[in-house]
Amino acid sequence: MLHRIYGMILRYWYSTLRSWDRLTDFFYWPIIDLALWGVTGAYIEASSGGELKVMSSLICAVILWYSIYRTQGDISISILEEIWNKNLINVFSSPVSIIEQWLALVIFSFAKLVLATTVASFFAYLFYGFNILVLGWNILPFMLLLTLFGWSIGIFVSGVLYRYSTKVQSIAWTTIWLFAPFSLVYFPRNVLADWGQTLSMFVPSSYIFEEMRSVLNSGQVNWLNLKLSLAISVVYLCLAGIFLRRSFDVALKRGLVKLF
Amino acid sequence: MRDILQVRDLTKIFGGFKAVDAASFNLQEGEILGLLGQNGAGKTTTIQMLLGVLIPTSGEIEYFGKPFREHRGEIQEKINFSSAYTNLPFNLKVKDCLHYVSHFYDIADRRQRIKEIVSQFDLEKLLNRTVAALSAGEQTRLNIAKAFLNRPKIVLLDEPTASLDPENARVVRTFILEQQKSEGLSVVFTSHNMEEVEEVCDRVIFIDGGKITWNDTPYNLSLRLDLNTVTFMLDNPTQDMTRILPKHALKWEVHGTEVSIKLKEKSVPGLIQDLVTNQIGFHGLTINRASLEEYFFKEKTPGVKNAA
Repeated sequence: MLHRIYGMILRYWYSTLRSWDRLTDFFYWPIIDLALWGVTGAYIEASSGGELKVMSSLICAVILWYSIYRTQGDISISILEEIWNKNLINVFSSPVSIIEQWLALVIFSFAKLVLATTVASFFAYLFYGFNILVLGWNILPFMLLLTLFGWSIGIFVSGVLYRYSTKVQSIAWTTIWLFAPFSLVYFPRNVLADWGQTLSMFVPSSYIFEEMRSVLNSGQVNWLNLKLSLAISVVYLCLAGIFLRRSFDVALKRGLVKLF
Repeated sequence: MRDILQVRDLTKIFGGFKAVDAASFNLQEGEILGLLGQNGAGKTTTIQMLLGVLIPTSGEIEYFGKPFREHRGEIQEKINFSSAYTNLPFNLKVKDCLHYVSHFYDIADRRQRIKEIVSQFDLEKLLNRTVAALSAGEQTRLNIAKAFLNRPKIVLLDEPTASLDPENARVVRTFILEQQKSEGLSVVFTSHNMEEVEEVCDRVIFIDGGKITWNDTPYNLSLRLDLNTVTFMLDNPTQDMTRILPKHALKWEVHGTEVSIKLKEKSVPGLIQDLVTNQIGFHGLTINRASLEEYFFKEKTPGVKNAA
């Protein structure tokens, strides 16, 4: 089993290495987002005469958002690449199982995330003197919980792709943005309308970004919120896993060749 | 020889369409089995079910005496395939593809095996090229090389030589036949090239409308057709042939001084006797039994079938 997972990780690694598009994931978008939100934060702080201290939380939010954005994107786009390349039959006519492919994607996306976050943190320090380590050890549970949620969305999207193929391929890079407003990435929960606040309670990432702001403002973390985020993410991950399994069975009944 | 693949009542229905209809056949150890049929006959659907990338509506597939459904991973270790409708990732280099695919299988001497395969399929010069940069023939060669990476006991080859030039197609055929002899390799082989099937396959299955219409050796299939082609040369073909033809020929063609006559086996001696009796001088006589291609067209063309 381990050699097959390693084989799949190698496949995704080579694909990243040989693709300029995939390599830009590591530096292009982090730099663009940091430049955009850093300047926006600086402008808001200057406009408020220094009363509003938002720059740190915006930059920190950009970096943490990558935990969801990258993991979801890497999982979904890797599945799409297999469909575009007509390579799924090569994979699944071998002893590789859907679970092994899933594990390889999860491990690979996490490794890529660590690298992308490191690059983004470096640029945040370089551009604005912001040190992500200001979050202390909290950064670990924050990132892990956000990654967990990113995996569940990525796996759900993969299930949709196995069911409907490239007809719905844009969901691979658009779905995550559906959750962005309710993840409270750049603003607190009370900014949303009542219905939006209720909806955000079911989005596990919202608790993390709220706690991120809490740490930056007061140094305090409400661990109950992190546990709540974990519980919701685990439920979503299980549901996404079941959906992926069933979607894959549907794809096998139709024939993997029909996905091309 | 023992059966290493047994297929029983294999059926696949898409919506209301029966793509494969209760197909039953076997593959023996060391045997090369040809699947023949027109486009849409059900060959590729059958191959996909044999690979485990399409779930049958009903029926059973057993490899090495074990149900495929329950021993999928274990069986997939021992089989492999090459097909014209799949590709290895376009943006990867050839060496990347061979390397990562080798990890899908439990290969003890992975690096050595890749070296062997690269050498056997003459891929040395292609190793640092991306799959996208390969010609159609080179991609096919890579796909076939991939199919032999794990030293499979059974290989499913779906039109493996479709985009190869005659020389490379010959190399692939020779390799398959060598593997059959040296390793006892068993092969399920589909192709539209009937001469190739005749050369390579020990047994042939015809599929038509998802059903198996015939299952026999190429030789027996041609006997069943009972159609022979007698070719010889005459000084004045048109004039001479009109004297003897109506009695014997099903169909005849004249190209310059060469005459080709299609007729049943039992009519061949009569034709030659008539040539002699009528004092028609001939030379360069050859008699060929029906080819698979002729059988194929007889099965698909009612007019020819009736004539035969």
